[in-house]
Amino acid sequence: MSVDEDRNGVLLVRVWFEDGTDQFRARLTTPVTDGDALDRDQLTVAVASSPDDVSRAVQTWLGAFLRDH
Amino acid sequence: MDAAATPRLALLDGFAIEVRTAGGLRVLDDLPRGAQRLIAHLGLCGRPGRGAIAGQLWPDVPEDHAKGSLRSALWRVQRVVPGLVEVSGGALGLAAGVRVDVQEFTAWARRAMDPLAGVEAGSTPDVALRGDLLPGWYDDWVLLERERLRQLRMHALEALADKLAAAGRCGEAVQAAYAAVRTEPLRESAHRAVVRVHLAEGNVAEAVRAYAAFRDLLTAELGVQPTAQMTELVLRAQVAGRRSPVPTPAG
Repeated sequence: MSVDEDRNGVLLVRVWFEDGTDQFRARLTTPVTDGDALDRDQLTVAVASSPDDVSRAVQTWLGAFLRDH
Repeated sequence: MDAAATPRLALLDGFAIEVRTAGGLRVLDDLPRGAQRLIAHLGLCGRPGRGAIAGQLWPDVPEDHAKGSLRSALWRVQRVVPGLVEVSGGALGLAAGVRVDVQEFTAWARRAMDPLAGVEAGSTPDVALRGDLLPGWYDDWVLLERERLRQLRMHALEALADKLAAAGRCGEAVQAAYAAVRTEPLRESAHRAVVRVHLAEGNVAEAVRAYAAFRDLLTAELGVQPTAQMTELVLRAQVAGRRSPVPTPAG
């Protein structure tokens, strides 16, 4: 979960509305920092179709980050 | 610095400096990290003042320490790639004429999205299909710029797909549309571009398959359906007489 050995992490939250609609989408990713993941730069933490789902995903990620440290 | 010797800075798909020498093209991709960060920052941010650069690159140390790190990085850059960086008063910048792939990509993307600009002859330039900005770099200034370029690439590829399809270059159009899909697989506009290309080449069956695949993906990942705009795009084609039954949802 951490970017490096320090106590920090990065969570990227991308949100968008599909063109001309009120259909909400989101993808939450975190950078991949382990040496095995050479074929990708980001790991999807969650996808969501509502703002509430995004909030829950952020809380889940943050909870895991705090537990790991 | 003469044009033939002008370096080219590559930041998409990773850091590299290409320098043409008497012996051919030399690629520098193993500069010390501090030197790479300085060069990349200048390639993205123009001609900021030394204080701003030091603060961006070394945000977690005292100002004097950051400025010392900047002096050290600049010294290394000037040793390994003399003439790459210009020092002017209190500002630093890449030398005039240095090409940066991000700038080339941005110029291409703007042309692709310009509705008045036609599709370019020849194949899509490599810079349009390269990967993300500086993969594996997690500095804030890189993350923000990476997202900006990512969004730009998605929109440009979607626009390009439509232009190529209108020009009858459907094979290239499909490649551009799927490149947009790969950037964000849940983004419907990219999948609509795929469907439109198949319809432009008269392949209703393939358009329906692409729609069904996206519908199944949305169901599996988000538990939602495509928008009415997406569904109507396919249904209109079917009503127009090229009837292909829509495959039933997976599972």
